[in-house]
This record gives sequence, structure tokens and C-alpha cells, in this order.
Amino acid sequence: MSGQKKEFPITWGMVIDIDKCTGCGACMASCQTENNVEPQREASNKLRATSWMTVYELTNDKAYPDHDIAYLPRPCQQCGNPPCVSVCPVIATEKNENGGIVSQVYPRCIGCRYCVAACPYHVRYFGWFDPVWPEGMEKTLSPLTSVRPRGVVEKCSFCHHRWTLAKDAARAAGKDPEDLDDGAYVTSCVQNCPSGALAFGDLKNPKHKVHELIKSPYAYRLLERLGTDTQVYYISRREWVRKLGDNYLKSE
Amino acid sequence: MSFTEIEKTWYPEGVERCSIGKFMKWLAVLGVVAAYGFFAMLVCFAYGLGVTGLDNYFGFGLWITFDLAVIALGAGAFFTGLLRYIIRIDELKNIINLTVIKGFICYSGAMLILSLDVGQPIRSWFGYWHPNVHSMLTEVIFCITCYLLVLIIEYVPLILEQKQINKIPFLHNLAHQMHVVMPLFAGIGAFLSTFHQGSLGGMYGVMFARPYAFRDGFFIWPWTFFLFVLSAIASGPCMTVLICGFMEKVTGRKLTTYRIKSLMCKIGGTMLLIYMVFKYLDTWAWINDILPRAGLTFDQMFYGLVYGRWLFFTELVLCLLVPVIFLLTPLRKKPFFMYSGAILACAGVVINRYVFTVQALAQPVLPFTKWEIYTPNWAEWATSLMVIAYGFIIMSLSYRYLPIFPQEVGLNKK
Amino acid sequence: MGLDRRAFLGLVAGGTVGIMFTPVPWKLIDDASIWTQNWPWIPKVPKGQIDYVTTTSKLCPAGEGLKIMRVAGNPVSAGGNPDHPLSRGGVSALARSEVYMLYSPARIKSPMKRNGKTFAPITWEQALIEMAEKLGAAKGSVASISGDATGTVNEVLTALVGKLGSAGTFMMPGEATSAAKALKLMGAQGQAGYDFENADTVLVLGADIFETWGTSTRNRKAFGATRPAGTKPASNYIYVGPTRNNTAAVCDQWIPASAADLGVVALGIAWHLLKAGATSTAPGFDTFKAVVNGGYGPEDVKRATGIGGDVLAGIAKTLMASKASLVVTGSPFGQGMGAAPVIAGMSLNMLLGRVNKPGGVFMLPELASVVPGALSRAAMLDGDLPAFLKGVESGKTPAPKALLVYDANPAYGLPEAATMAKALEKIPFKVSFSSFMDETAALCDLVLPNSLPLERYDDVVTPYGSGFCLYSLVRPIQKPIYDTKTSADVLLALARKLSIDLKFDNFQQVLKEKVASLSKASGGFVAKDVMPWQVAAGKPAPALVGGDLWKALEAGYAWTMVGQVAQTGMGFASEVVAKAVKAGKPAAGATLAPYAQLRTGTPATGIPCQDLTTVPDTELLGETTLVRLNSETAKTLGLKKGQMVKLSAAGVDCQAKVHIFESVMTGMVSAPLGFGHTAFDYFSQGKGANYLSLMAVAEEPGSGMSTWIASEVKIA
Repeated sequence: MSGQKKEFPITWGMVIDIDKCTGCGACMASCQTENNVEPQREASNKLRATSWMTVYELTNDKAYPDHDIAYLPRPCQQCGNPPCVSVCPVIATEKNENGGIVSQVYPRCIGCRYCVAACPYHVRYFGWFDPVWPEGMEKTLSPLTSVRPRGVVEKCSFCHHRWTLAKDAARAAGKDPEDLDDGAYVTSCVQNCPSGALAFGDLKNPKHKVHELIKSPYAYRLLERLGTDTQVYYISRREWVRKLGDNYLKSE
Repeated sequence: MSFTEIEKTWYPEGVERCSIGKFMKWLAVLGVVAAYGFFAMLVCFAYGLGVTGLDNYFGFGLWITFDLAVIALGAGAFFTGLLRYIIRIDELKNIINLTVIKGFICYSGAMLILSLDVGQPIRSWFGYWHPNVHSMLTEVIFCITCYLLVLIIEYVPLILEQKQINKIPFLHNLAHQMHVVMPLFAGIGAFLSTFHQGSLGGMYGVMFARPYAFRDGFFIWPWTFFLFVLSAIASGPCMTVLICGFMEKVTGRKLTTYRIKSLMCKIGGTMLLIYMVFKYLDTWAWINDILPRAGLTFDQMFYGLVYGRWLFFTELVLCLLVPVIFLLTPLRKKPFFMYSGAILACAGVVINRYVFTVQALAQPVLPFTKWEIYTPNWAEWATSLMVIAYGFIIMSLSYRYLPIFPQEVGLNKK
Repeated sequence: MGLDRRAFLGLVAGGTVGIMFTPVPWKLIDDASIWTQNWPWIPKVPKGQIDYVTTTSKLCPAGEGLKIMRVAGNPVSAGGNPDHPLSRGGVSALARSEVYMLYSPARIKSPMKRNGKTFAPITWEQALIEMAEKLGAAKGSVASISGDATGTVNEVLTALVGKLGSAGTFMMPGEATSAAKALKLMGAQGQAGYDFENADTVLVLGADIFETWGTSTRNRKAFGATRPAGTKPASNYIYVGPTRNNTAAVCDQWIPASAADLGVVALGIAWHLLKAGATSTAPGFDTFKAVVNGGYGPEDVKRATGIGGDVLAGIAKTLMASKASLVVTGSPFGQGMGAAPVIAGMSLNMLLGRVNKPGGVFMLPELASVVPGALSRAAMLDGDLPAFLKGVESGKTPAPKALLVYDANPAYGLPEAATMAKALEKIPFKVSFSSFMDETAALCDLVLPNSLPLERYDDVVTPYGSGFCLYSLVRPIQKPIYDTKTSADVLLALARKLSIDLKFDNFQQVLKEKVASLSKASGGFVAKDVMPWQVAAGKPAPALVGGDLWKALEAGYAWTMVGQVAQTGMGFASEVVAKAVKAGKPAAGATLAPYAQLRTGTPATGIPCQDLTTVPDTELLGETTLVRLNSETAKTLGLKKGQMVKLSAAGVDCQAKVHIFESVMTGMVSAPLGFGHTAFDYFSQGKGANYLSLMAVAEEPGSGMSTWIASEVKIA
């Protein structure tokens, strides 16, 4: 049961130029505080740490000096055909809003973690403990994202709240909120990336840069052959990097 | 009359039981295990699931494996009920009570673990309130809760038949009336149970981005749906026989005839054979179609010891082909082969549930991720042991005070 | 009245059904779902009007302009300011921390005085009295260390120390230190500025330009702008260094070379340039040519560094063929480089004719000082702190009677940390102005917490690496949360108490005066519609709008100026090069090649708590840091993946786990800096080891400056 793909007039997508990513972690740091993720004291257990945006280190697996590395920032891939949505027993995660962002409804999630199991990108994080901020630091919480109690699953939302702000701003400026200018709505990681490795926009809108970028011969998506149809594209001029985006048989 | 004397009047008619002192010691041992597990449960509720060995890679672990395994092994209840009441294999009345209690224990235990396993137990009922009809898990929630009710309804008349309780005319009548409608509940139970056994398998089969678990299927049901049903009804009767045999060993009394056990094992073995055929076909299709489609090979599905290939062959040969031979040939007449076959069949199902739960998640789908190891910690073991201890306690009490085995008196005449 | 069984059961059943028809169970269930969303121990998000204000990052050495989101007047997050030339919207993981670090558990909440082994809170008045008394007694022997590489606060500090009788005014050593020394030896004037925006071929010798070197956020923006996604890059970046670090990971080419050999590599390239006819009229060219031809031919370089002649020839060819080439030299970990490699690297720029050219190196003028008696930046950078402290430790240099430490953590952030800490202990009276309880503050007698940048007025003046002169204002957008003060104000108050006239009563006046002086500098403008690199490329500079410059700066814009100091006698300093540029000795064990990253903060900030998540488990695992070496090195040393090892050098041992990483040159052990804190909070403390403490300080021949670029370590 692989579900059906829904089409939306607006399809928010991200294009990540791996060849520009230095792996500095600014996107991760930006995401953490934008989305009220608690500071984690013991964050080296990556299987437990919450990090909606995670930078993976890729290698071509060769020995020195032929070795090469690349960094791959991984937000939620906002699949067109999300493996996580159909499995949720309580409709706590959905893909049915224009824009194609896979939602996560924290007050409804019962914490069964079936979606965590279903997602091959590991973008879903469970609240193992109640979040704790150092004394006073809760004053720096963002009012735009709710604080999750323990026991629910959370994930990248493409900073959905920024879309709302952008639409409000467009309305206030007398513009069409359904036809935002390129750059009017970008996620926190995209905005703050010092290398400009991340781009964001409506994949279907020809006025948006990403619309062209995804047509690049160097553009690819992660695990395309599983049929997830993601809305996050990667670009690399290096073939070995692109090959690491999916599984291939020796004969392929 | 002393308490010891009174207690003796609670026994079923015409049977002997061990001394109350011995029985209390037995309960005390089980109670300690259960209490430790209960403590672990409180710790989980108080601090959150961070106290377990689960993580974001292994959202499912020992608990889900345990649940799936006990639910599969507990399947003896619905299937035997189906055969007894609907298909009317009358002989099974001699073991049906045991299967009902086993089913009740397995399902209530699984429910207990599930309530621990969800991050927000207070919201568990959202499964009814905001159901996602496309989710296999929704169906599991529906069927398991409903089926537990059915099992309670099936268990209650057994309790009412207790010698002292049965003396109350109203309860006596109630028990009788309930027995009359039992075929109806057996039918409902069979329906519900088939569906959730299947849905539990379906849960894994639909994960189309997890090539280890994903399967094609029929209409909305992936093949794992049917395979889980088959493996459950194959191992359920075997488990009943094992429990019965174990109880005979512990109590030193004959509880059913070898004939009944042999019949149960034959039923189990037959189902196991059907399961085996389909499982082999499914595995063949998985290796030659599903995996290559995902760009993966059979070899890439195994890693190290805990996810090793040995598990695959143990499950599919030692715990499938071998028990089929043991249970469906004249070998079954020898207790050694019958019990070994039953044990292997049950072990095979447990391995099957383990690999689908844990190995399916450990297998790295993204090429730049690696195999991760999951180790359940004390909190998960303690609570799982608690459920086992709980099962032993229920079974011990039931055996001591309820007339479960119609043949017991006759078989133990001196 | 009797209730028979039937009636009882009827009542129970009827009651149950009846209750189901009342709202009670449904209400309870509904409430249950609301409780699960509103547990009292889960913090509530703040409510209120959202607005954005601008300032400049001071915690991050890259000096990005920041756009701070506030809710009901309280800052909640820091993003890059798209209008700021050092940010252009980008922000480092460290600059992002500006807001939440306000509430870092490591913050010092009030002035404190040492009381035996602990600290006791005191009032600011008591602190001033105490300090005035002690400093008055220490007159003539007061030293200072500043970790602020860009602030006007240094003027206040050095003027005060000067008037008290200076025993030395030091900056924490960094890239700027080596560069300043190099330029001085070359007879050049000004501060080297690198015009990445207009460069098309950039040869990076060691410098981690996209992480710790100079204006790294701006550098990355400039890099990214020349590389539109999915198309052929319009720039060519070549990195030479011991590891494929964050910078090399995105460069077009990585040429492995020990950090100790970077000068040799530069001269090896110079040999090819000279061969191809490159020439210069600068003083010392002939000697330089002789030096290069004498010992840096392809064979010599290959022997010394292992880099083939064809590789260097290729680089030379690329540099010469490009319209705007640029050579940047620096330390792979942001400090410890000698002057000679920088001179060698700068020589390439001279041979290529890239000095004071768009896309090349600009010799930027220093902005005028406003505090009378203040030292210039160049003068401050001339001090050699490690040498000074080593002298104090060994007794060769008399220990100053008093030391003022501003925004610096020398007890942690210097090589041979153990020696440095011993030297600090010899100084009888030490004052720390740190905002956080760092390793140095823990050693001091008085701790007078500085307000954090979001709570104070401060400024960023042309950070090292910037291709243009820059002035950017830091302004308070939040009242001090704790009992802290702007240290510059405290210093000015102290001066008054000591009857020292520094001309100003408070720091804001100093800054206003500084800004007023900018208006007088010709060619300066507010970077808004036109950016300074556009001016460097030939676009006319907009006039400085007559209005209030202070206001524009408060609005988050930066004042910039594209200009250069006319050079009189900038030469090749070949005598230094000849003495100092030598191949590093091959290490018997392994050579330590540290690397630093902004996500682990600076020695003065510790690890920002939210950044801990960004540290990969190949760097920090549990409480252990990992060191990287390639499989060949591991084999030679008999080490295995995941093995716990002890690194020993400079009389110090550090624990580490082995991480096999093939992008490290053979013979090198690459180790992350920023870990192993013994102070700060639970986000920094006890996490791994401080490998900087293993680096041994040596004196560079020719320049006499302290260097610690590649130290030999024993691994067992």
C-alpha cells in the first residue's frame, strides 16, 4: 500500500548544493533554536539526539590521497508520497495542505513511533524525555513553534510558521499571498547558511529559482527508486556523491 | 475450619493440588519478578521512554517484538475457538479452556506493554477518535482492544464455574447462558483476531521505504498480512501444547491426553506447512523482485551476529521445515519430536517477529548510513518479564481454582 | 426497603448507559487530551509583538551583522542580517548563539572576589575600590590581555594600562598576529585585506578561510556567489594543508602539505612564477629570487613536502592565467603560524601583482584612535603573549604585579596550556572581565562580568581578513539580565577613581567619537545599495549621506571604506624567508594537526549549548574526543579504529579515541580544538581533551616570534 501522490498548486521544495556545503553546522544550529529544540547535554549519541536538520558526512570510501568527502544536510524530505503519513493511526501527520509540507500535529500524536520506523531518512525524532532549558533560557523560545512534551514525534516542518508570516506580510503589502515572491518565504536553515548552499522556493513556480535548479543534470533526490518522490533536491557535480543518493546494484 | 481447609474447598471437584504454603512460595517468586517489572513501568511513566534502550533509529524494539510474539503465540485461542465452536471439532473441548486463558494472558499482557510503549498513553483512545483508516496500526488498535473484550467474555464463564462461585444461582445461570452464546463470540473473536494478526504483518509489509520489510500484496494487504495470520495460527496451537506439557511437568499431573496434544500439534503442523509454502514463495519474491527494485541485494540485508544470516536460515529451515517434518509425520507420536517440533515452530515465529521489528529498522536504507545495534535495557526486560510473571500468576491461579481441564479427574484416578 | 439482585443489576446497567449520555465521560476524555498538551512543567512559549532589531555579532570573530527577532521586546533568536557586508544573511553557528547564550549556565551573575578556593559575590563599588587599590599599588607593572580582536574597547584598555605603567599589552594570538608581524617585517603599512568577492582564483595556504580564518561568513558568501548551483563554477579555489578540512571540502583541489611546510610550498610556487618571468620592483626582489632559486626548486620542494613539481607548476600556471588571483596564508587552526610563511604567501601576491588590486590583497588603513594614549592595533598585535608568559613562567621575565584579562581565556586558549597557567599563577593580582566562568576567570582574584554583546554598546572595527575597512556597531537590545556591566565603562570608572584622565566618562561617548571620526575619513560610505567589493571593482563609492551616521549604524548598516595605504618600501623580507622557511622536521611519532571550528565556540565562549548537537560523533563521543588519522598512519603507529590512545607532548597527556579518516595526510594526527574545558558549564566541561595544550611553542628564526604550527606528538 504505497498511497497516492497528491498534487498541490504550490510545492515548497529545497535545493541543496552539496558542493558548497562546508559542513559547518550553522543550518543545524539555526534549526534548533528556530524550532524550540532543547539544548542537549549529551548530544553525541546521534541515535537519541534531536536534530531536525542533520549534516551527514559522505565519503567516497577511498584511501588517502584519493579520498574525498562531502557534507549532506538532511531536513525532512517532505515526500510527495510520504511513507510516514499513511501509517499514522491517528492522523497526526498529514500531507494535504497546499505547499506539500508533511505536517506533524503534536497534540494529536500518541507517540507510537510507527512513522519513525517507516521513514528511511531518519527525519523523525521522538521525545524521549521532557525538554529542559537552562534556567531563564526558556525566555528565548520562539513563539512561532510550540514546545513539545515528551512522548510525541517531531520533525522538520520547513519552518511552516515562516510561510504564515510571509503570507501575512504579503497581504499587508497588498500582494497575493498565494503567489509569494522568490525568497519571501525561506526556512531558517536556508536563510542562515553562510555558503548559500541551500535554496528554497516553490518548485512549480517558474519565477522561483528552485524551479530551474531542479532541472540541472547534477540534481538528484535521495532514494528515488523507493518512490517517495521527495521535495528536497540535491546538487553535486561529483558523480560519487550523486551515486550515494540511492542504492544501486552492481549491474547498474 | 482453618484457612487451609477452606482453601481446599475452592479447588475444582475431585482434583488434588499442592499445599497452600508451596503455592504461596511459588506466587511470591513470581510476585517479586512482577514487582520489579512494575517498578520499571513506574519509572517509564515518571521519566519518559528515555529510560529504555530505544532510540530514534529503533523506535520499535524488544517491547514490540515481545507484543507481536505473544500475540502470535496467543493466537491458539481464536483458532482453537474457531475449530471447536464453528468447525465443531468436539474433541478440542478438552483443551479449549487453556487456550482461552492463554489468549487472555497474551493479549492483556500485550496491551499492558503497548500502553507503556506509546509515548502518550493518555491519548491511546485517539485511535478511535481520530482513526486513520489507511493505517494498519489503526486496525490493530481496533481489533486488539475488541478482541481483548471478547477474550474477557470468554474467560468470565470459566471463572464463574469455580466451585464456590458457581453455587450462586444467578452466576451459575449467567455462566450457562454465556456458554450458549460462546460460538457467537468465538466467531467474532476469530474474525477480529485474523484481522489484527494480519494487520500486524501488514504494518511491516506496507513500509514501502523499508525494503527489508516491504512486500507487494493482494488489494490493500501486503503478503506479510497473510503470512502473519498463517504463522500465528500455526504456532498458537503448538504454544498451547507446550503450556499444557509444561503444566503437567510442573504439577506432576496428567491434564489432557496425548491424543489431544497430538491433534493440536497436527493442526499446528498443517498450518505450518501451508505457511511454509507461502513464506518460501514470499522470500523468493523478496530476494528476486523487491530487493533488486530497491537497488539492494540479499547480502546487504545481513550484518554481524545479531542481524546475521544464521537467523534467516534458522527461521526458514530449522524452525520451519524441521518442525513441519516433526509435526506432520509419524515422528509426532514420540513426545520428543512432538515437543521439539512445537518449540521450534514457536521459536521460528519469535525470530520472524524479531527480524521484522528490529532488523528491518537496523538495515540502513540510505547508502551513507550504517547498521546500528539495538540493545534492550533493564527497563524493557523488566517490564517484559513482568508480563511473563503475570501470565504465570494468572495461569497458576486458574489452574488451582478453575475447572480448566475436563479430563484431569479421569486421567489422574489412582 | 429491599433492593433485589435484579433491580441492582438494572440500576448498574441503566446507570452506566445513562452516564454515557451525559457529558461527563466525554468531558473527562476531552480534558485528558488537553492535559497532555499543557503539562505545567513544559515551558510555555512567550507571547507578544514580534519585531526585528539589528546589531553585530561580537561572540563570533567573523563579525557578522545580526538580525535579532524579539518577542515583546525580548530577543529570541539571531539570524544573519542580509544588509550587512560581513553577513549578507549568513550566520555562523557561534553567532547564532548570541541570544540564548544570554542565559548560559556558565554566565557570571555578579562581580566576585576570590575567597580562598571559591568566589564570593561583591558589589561593583567594592570591586572598583579593591581594583583601584590593587592597581594603584601595582603601578608601573600592569599587563593586559585582550581577546577582542576588533573592538575599540582595546583603546580604553591600552590607554589605561599605559597610564598605569604597562608591563605589556597583549592580544590573544591569532591569524592577525602572524599577518601583522609579516607585514611589519616586509616594511608594509596597514592591515592585509583579502578581496574574495572579486577574486577568481584563490590559493589558500593552510588558512581555514571558511571556518576560523578572518571574516569566515563573508568569505563563504563570496565563495558561494561565484558558484551558482548546478553550473560551472566561476571561481577556482585550491587548498593546501594537512587535512581536507571544512574549507578544503568545497575547494576544487586539495594539496596535502604539513602546516609546517606551507612556506616551502609558497616558495616552490614562486620558483615556477619566477621561471615563467614574474618579476617585481619591490625592495629585496633580487635576494628573494636568489633565495628561491637557491633552495626551492621542484626537486627541493618535492623532497621537503612530497608535492610533485608538476602540481606546483600547475598551480603557478593557473594563478598566472587567471585575471584575479589571490593567495591567502594562514594557520589551519587559526593560530600559531609564524611570520615567514605569511611573507612567503604574500610574496606570491607581489609576484602576481595582486597587491592593492581588485580581487587581490588590499593594505587597509587603520581607523584613527580616539582615546588618548591608546595603542594602535598594529602595536598591540606586535606583542608576543606566549613568549611573554613563558618568560614569566621560567622567571626570565619579571611577572607583572597585576593583569587585566578582557574577553580572553589564556589559561585555555594558548599552546602549552600548563605552562601558561603556571605563569598566570605567578601574577599576584589578576582581574577577569569575562562574561562566562572560563578557565582564566577561575584563576583570577576579581571577576567583573562583562555584559554580553546584546546587553552592551560595542563595535567591530575591520576584522582581520576583511577586504575593506569596516565599522559596525554593537548595541544593547536587552537590559543586562544579571548584575553585569560593560567592561569598558568599568575601566573608565576605574580610571576616574585612579584620577587618570582618559577623556571619556563612558564607553558610549568613546564610540560616538569614533563614529564621528569616521565621517571625516574620505571615501567611507554606508554599505546599503552599493557594497564595498563593488566599489573595489570600480563602481563609484556613494557619498557618505550627510545624515546621522550613528543612526545608520544603529539600524544595522555597516560603514565601509575601500582604500589602501600607499606602500612605501614594501619588500620581500628575503632575509627572514631565507632563515625561517624550512621544511618541517619529519616527526618520529606523528605530527599534530589541530583544527578549530566555530561551532565549538572560542576559548572565551566555551561550547554554545545548542551547538553541541552539531558536533558529529566522529569528533566527540560521550566524554571522549576523537583524533583523525588515515589508515596508513594508523598502520604505522599500530593503532586501530576506536582505540583509546594517549597523546603526549609538551609534558602534557591527552586522551583520545582513534577515528580513521582518509582525508588526513599521512603522518598527521588531526585533532579538534575547542574541547576539554575544565570551566564553563555542563555543556563544555569535561567534554574531551584540549589538544592545544600539546602544542609546543618554538621561536621562529628571523622573526623571533612564537610559533606552534605543527608539533610532534607521541601516541600510545
